[in-house]
Amino acid sequence: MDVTTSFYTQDFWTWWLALYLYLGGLGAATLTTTFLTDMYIKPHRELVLWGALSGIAMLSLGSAMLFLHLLDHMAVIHILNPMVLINQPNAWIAWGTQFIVWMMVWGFLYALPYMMDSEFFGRIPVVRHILAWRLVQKIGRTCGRHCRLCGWLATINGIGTVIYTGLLLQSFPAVALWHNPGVPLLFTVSAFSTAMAFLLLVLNLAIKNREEDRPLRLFYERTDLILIAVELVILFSFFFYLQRGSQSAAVSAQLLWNDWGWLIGFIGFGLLVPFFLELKGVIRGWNSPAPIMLASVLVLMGGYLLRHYFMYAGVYARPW
Amino acid sequence: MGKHDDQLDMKRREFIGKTVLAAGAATVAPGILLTVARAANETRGVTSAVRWGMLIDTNKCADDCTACVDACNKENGIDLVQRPEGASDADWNAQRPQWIRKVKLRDMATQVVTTLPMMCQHCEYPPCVDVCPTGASFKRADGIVMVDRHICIGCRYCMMACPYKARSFIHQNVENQLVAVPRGKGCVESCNFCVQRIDAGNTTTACQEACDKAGHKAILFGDLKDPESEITRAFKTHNSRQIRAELKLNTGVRYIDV
Ligand code: SF4
Ligand code: SF4
Repeated sequence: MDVTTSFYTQDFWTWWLALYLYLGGLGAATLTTTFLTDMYIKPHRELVLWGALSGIAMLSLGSAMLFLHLLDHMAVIHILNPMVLINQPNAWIAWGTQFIVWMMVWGFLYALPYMMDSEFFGRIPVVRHILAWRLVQKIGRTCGRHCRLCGWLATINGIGTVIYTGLLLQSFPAVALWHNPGVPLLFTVSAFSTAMAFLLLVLNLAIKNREEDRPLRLFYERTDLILIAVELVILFSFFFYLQRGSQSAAVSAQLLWNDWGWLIGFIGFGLLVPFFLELKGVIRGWNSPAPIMLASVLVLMGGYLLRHYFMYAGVYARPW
Repeated sequence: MGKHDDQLDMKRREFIGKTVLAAGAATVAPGILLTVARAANETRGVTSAVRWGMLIDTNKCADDCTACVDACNKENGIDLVQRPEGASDADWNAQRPQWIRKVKLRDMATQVVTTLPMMCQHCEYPPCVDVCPTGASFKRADGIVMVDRHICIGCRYCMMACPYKARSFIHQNVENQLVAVPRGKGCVESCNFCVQRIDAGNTTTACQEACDKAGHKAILFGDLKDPESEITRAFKTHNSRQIRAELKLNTGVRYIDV
């Protein structure tokens, strides 16, 4: 018999999981982008230090969100243990944890030689002493000699982390909105777009808008523009897919497309406004960096809103 | 460098080598031990020649009867979990463990309401197992899906993944516990077909026994792979269905007349 179905949204994965996914994607994409830039576009010590350290900080903060939600904190040892992949090769979450841990390790090692040469770190009391230890110096020199290897190991784990933030949601068949191959794609594009925005802010504010970095800023602007366009296309196809998918997918679509926060906040201010600001920047240029910085802040805000609304619009269908 | 220095150097190298080996072993050993301990636990005495399953005849399930729920609570010590001090009714109802619940299905065409017991469906392709990051949520060779509470980290991904809302989370320390059904704060649990009985050679679950005793005989438990078992014969003569069959999880629990 056909029975009436009830639709429920979950109330366990709320803003904190959205923040974990956001910081995970942003941190990993930032680290990856700066390393690839340093290896293949323009050697850039400051950018690597910003990318590696802020990436590691974001991932640590995001992981802390998950850790705080465990009631038995010691139990976390079971997931940090790499042997878990032998037991659970199918669990993306097990892979994701390993990607995050190893991305941080290799990311730190790639940045270490730059830290040892940096005047800034040489001025920080405790860090200065640690960097002077013989063992640390030796590790730093070895990593400097094999920087491509460290860079690629960090990059592979970084890309793994970015994709994992989408795969995590995709592995839940009970929620039609999440269980969809478009989710890892959407989250990956969004993570790299927010990383471009973050690095544009770093280049404009922290590394003081240097003239020699102009081509790099333009490159990041153009890349971000393309990524926002791709994100809009994915969202457009998502909308039609959800409408014609299962009932619970249609309910999720209704929840999203009837919410002003999603429509105006995310699609309007998080995607369309920065798209046009960056489009003007790429075609005609701006006289000041302010519009691009505004676009970057909006993209960063939009990246969080995407994940926030995705959490809240996840619908379970139950025939009772 | 003199001979003496060479010897010192050799000793130092040996020492460093051994230290590195010891450190490496110390890093990997807990992982290996955890893996081995887990493997021994879940496979002992269990064979894939059997698949345990359940057939529930909704025509026989009485609306106001909760015999199966009460029996499950007693058998698995669920009634020993105390309501936390100060917890509101709503909070307690939302968080108290439940391995089996009575739910109502309404026929869209006739509006007739059918009552049935809902528990872990012991899926052949269980999403709760696929998402578990530690392997704590696992399926035994005989089809029983359960949680290894020693390695459950309480992330609740399995609860999020289950389409049947079959899993519960233990929010507090539990004072009185049954030896056969230990439970700890921060772990997830769900119906395991009274695995303690099965492993002791029993072939009925507490819920089936209670339902039979109450005179309804709505629950039939048995080996789906045994062509002679009562449940297999009942499958042949009744039209049964999976709840949410579209998810293609091939559940071990089926319902007649839904
Ligand atoms: S019903 Fe839920 S808990 Fe039980 S096996 Fe299926 S997914 Fe896992
Ligand atoms: S709560 Fe426990 S059983 Fe469930 S997914 Fe997490 S570790 Fe696995």
